[in-house]
Amino acid sequence: MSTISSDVSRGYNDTMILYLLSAAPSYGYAISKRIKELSEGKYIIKETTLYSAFNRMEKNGYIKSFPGTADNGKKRTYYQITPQGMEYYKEKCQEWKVTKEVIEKFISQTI
Amino acid sequence: MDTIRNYLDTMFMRLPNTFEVMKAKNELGQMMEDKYIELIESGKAENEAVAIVISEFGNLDELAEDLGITSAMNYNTSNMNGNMNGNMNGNMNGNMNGNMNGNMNGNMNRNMNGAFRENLKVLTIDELKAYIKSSIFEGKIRGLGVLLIITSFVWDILLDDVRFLDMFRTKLFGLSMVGGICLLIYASRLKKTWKYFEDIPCTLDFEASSYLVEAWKKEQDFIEISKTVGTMMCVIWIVPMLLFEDIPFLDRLTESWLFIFIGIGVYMCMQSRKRKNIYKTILSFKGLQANGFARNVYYGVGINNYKKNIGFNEKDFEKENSKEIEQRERYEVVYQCFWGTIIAIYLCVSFLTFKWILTWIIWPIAFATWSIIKAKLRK
Repeated sequence: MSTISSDVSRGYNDTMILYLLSAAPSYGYAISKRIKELSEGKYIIKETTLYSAFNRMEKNGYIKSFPGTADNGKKRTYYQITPQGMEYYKEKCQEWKVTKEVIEKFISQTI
Repeated sequence: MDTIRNYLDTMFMRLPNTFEVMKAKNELGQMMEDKYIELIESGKAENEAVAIVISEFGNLDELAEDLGITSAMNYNTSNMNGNMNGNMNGNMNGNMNGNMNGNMNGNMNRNMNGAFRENLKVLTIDELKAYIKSSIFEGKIRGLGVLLIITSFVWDILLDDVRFLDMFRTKLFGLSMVGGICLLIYASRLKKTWKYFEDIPCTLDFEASSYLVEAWKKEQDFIEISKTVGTMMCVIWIVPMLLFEDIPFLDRLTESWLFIFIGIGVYMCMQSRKRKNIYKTILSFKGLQANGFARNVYYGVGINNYKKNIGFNEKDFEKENSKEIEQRERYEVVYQCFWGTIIAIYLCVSFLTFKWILTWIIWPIAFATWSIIKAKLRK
């Protein structure tokens, strides 16, 4: 099974996280788990990558953190998407469509 | 879980204790803990779960910018020069031996294996220990200076009219007095060594922070005991004076008791105060103030959380403990006001009336009143 490298996914970590947050507010591990599930194990996001993305997006106002408590009483930081975050997500989706279109032209179908 | 905690602690050991870093550490801890618990629940062996969590942790270098630090791994020459200059200036004023070497080594090590934020000085555990040690030494020198000055009068009283020794009376008095003053001057010079703490914003790295938590906890008993005993010494000199009244020679000794008791009492109070001030200085570091660490450590609130539970949320943590902190702050203010007033009243009345035999009665009354106030405050 091939996996994708963190170099390739770097520009789109934000997109993945925002997609998941647009469904419902969530917390760090749940998001990393969903990414692994949706990618069928082809992409495992590192904790430091995830935190870096959270931190950067929070500073840019795309997401908002709030304290919450898990079922077992454990304290957790939850994140939710903001209207600016939604806008940014839409932009990133558009960007990806173009990127895909362009890169696709250079991908040989015979290999 | 302990392995993961230790891993995280080690990764962050040399990083500065600031709000950003603490937040990152907590959050990363939360994620790792969640992942670990789920792996165990899914039937993985502990070793395996730990290995997976650690292998998927990533690289702290990725966070450098988020943490407000320079690269966590790279050796940065320009920063090192800056830091070395800062330290040299600080130390040049004071004693040249030992401290400069110590600090320079410390900085180089930090730049090699750790990270620090420009314009925020991050003290390592070695520097912290050196500061505490040298400050205690300075406090002792200062205390001894004061002790010598106060007890210099003893020679004058004791040797008065004593055959052969009478001639040494003024000499010993003068020697003791001058010696005391010299020690005070020496102590002031020692203090200058660490003057730069007040001039540049500082913080501790995480290793030093944990050390501070433990050291402060241990120190509190010493501070309380020496303050109480010191204050008692300043008061109970009256006892031997009353006991040995009218007994030849011993009555002369009793006049000296006054100075000896008060001298030792003042010495002990000074040591207690000094120790407290050392920790107050450290806890007033900008970096430690900003993330609420200082307040929590000072009042000993939520420290177990800080030490053991890596999964807490910083903002929440502050809120959770703020009530208790406020309570302790109030307690401290009332404490200072109450005992300050009592001591002032005691000294004023005693010196005005010179009825020392009667005025000590204020102490049992004060202690009784204090226990009532304390009970009320605790409610």
